[in-house]
Amino acid sequence: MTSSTPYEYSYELDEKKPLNLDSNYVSSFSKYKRYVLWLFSILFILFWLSDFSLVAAEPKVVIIVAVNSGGGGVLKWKSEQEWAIERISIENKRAYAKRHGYGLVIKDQALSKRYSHEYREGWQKVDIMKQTMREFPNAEWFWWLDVETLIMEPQLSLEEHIFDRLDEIANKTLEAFNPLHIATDVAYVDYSQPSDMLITQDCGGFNLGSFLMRNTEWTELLLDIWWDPVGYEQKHMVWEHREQDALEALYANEPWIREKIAFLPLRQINAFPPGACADFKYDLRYFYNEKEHDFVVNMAGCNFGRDCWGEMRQYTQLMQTLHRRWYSMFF
Amino acid sequence: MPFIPKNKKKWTKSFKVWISELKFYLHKRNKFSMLLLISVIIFLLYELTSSLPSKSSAGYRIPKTHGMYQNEVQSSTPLIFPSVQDHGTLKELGVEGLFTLRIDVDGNREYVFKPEDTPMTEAERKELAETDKKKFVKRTFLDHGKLVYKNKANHPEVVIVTIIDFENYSLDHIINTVQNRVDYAQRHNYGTYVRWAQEFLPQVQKQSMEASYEFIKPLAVRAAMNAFPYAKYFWFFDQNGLIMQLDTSLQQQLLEPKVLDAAVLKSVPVFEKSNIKTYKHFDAKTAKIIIPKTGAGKLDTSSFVVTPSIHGKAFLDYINDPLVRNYPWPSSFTSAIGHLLQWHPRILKRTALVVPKTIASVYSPSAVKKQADDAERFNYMDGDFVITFTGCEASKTCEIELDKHYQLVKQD
Repeated sequence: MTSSTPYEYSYELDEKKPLNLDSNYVSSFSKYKRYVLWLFSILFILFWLSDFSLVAAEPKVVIIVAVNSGGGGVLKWKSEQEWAIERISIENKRAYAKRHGYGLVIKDQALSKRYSHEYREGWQKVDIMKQTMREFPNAEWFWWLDVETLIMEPQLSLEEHIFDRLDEIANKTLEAFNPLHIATDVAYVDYSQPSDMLITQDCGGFNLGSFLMRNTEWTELLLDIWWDPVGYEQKHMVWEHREQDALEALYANEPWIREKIAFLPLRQINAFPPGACADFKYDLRYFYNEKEHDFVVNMAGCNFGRDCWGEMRQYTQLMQTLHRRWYSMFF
Repeated sequence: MPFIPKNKKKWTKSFKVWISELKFYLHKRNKFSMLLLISVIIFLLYELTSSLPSKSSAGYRIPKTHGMYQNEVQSSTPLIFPSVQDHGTLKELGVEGLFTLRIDVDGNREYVFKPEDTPMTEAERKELAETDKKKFVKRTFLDHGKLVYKNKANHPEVVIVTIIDFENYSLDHIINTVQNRVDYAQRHNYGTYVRWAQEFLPQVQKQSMEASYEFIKPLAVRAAMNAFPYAKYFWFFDQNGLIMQLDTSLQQQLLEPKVLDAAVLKSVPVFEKSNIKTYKHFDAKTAKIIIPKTGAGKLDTSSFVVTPSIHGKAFLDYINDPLVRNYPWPSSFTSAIGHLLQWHPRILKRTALVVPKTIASVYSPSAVKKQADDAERFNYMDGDFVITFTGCEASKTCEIELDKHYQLVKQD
């Protein structure tokens, strides 16, 4: 006991000093604990209430890419080249979306049983649009792109290329270009309405390979009316382009739809390669022109007797040469 | 959370400091830096001007909105109705005398009209009225569709739309019908839009009253929307019906959200035996289309309200689409609406199906004497807002019943 006392004593002495010091710190913290806690909880509540976030805000434009549109599923094996086309196409859109802060969704358009009846074939695109609009309720524009497309000028934002100069580039009527010979002057159409849907026409009429829809009540209503069994029951043998033909019929007959649709020149968002619209080889309005730096090329119908993979490779290479910088020779 | 400066003076002070610093700097670095500053300013100005939109864009011509006819005639009054005294002459002329008949190689006969038809001038009108009565009546008939009321000030909020038929009804019946609408509209500063049903025959494919009368109703409402561009409600009310309470406004009878909310049928089948039901939570403020539902559960097309909204126009344009109109429906217009509501939830969401007592109390000769509770709920009783004679065509009692009840309105 005696031998241990001095040691114990010194230990206690040693311990006492830092212990005192420590308790001082603790007491000063406990003194302000309430305030710190209050501050923390106020900040916390403000954080949840405000729309402050470190992640980027919701995108204003959402790009929809539909893949597997050529059948797929159990009907057909996807070939190696189809996988490659899909990969290049998606990568192209992903880079574009990232560059301009747009959203991107990839949707599967494989033939499913739900749409397999001839009445229902046109349903899918409409369903995908509806679905995406539900997923992005705050987006302003949706841009639908088929998989066989390439954005050739990714530095152009949609705002500067389209939205900011709609008055200059978009046509509200068909008077200038009307391959389907739809009546142009019909009753009750108020063309001064803002355009909620931007589409293009190719040599055969409306083309929905690349089109834009604004997130409005009108668009939701159109997506609801677009597929209607009364129309399909009567016309499913005639409407070989399904939802495209249905939209043409709606445009022709229903003024409330016509007044919100505007037409862009095909080459604005949907330029064709020389193989498409082959009967109109010399009509420059349809075909991609690298010298004029067309925005998007759409290899429409390339799986009908043309070489999708070849075209895709050709345009990917072309895009690389177009965007080569002088300093790239150093790398 | 963005930082919001509370004290503005602090900022101005720092701005002053900044300016003085700049001055000092310029003083020290003499002319070279002055030059640099000027060039920077010029560059900024250049950037600003180039980013502004150029005004040189060629003015793109937007076609004007027009009705079925490209030309229009301004009506001086919001009470638009045809000259009913032409009834006899019109009957004599017949539909074939009013429109051009086109017969194609397959022998299909079709009445056509000219959208570019020009209205009569005042001189022509005077001359024709004296020389050629038949031609005058024909031209008046064709010009009636060109009438519009575009007076923005004092524009009616509600327009009553009625179509009248000179082939199957007598002049007295038509006078009573039109007078009733006009009396009512005048009391409440509403507009009326009465058209001959036959005016719309060239727009439909089955060109007879029997086959297409029902489908002329939505065409007439659409035409009314063009004629009254600033009205908020279009109430279609069939010729076989009378407004019995002339003092009750349509707003207090039906349109006010509170009233409408009480009248809306929630969670009931869209029409008889339908699997689709109306919404359980229906916001009366957002209603764009109002259709009464009869006691038997049918949609009543003798009286309905449409607003000139996207939904209202979509509703009418859909029904007026030839693909929809010419579909072999079991009972024409009613079935087409039923189909639209069943298949298109966006329209259903904005459609109020209401109890028939609001704007379509059906007259039933047996039920007037206040017997069964059921009849009391659905059929016409004394004191109801309107009376409709739905089904009177079959019993051929329309004219008698309407005349009888018209006397009752007068006493009011």
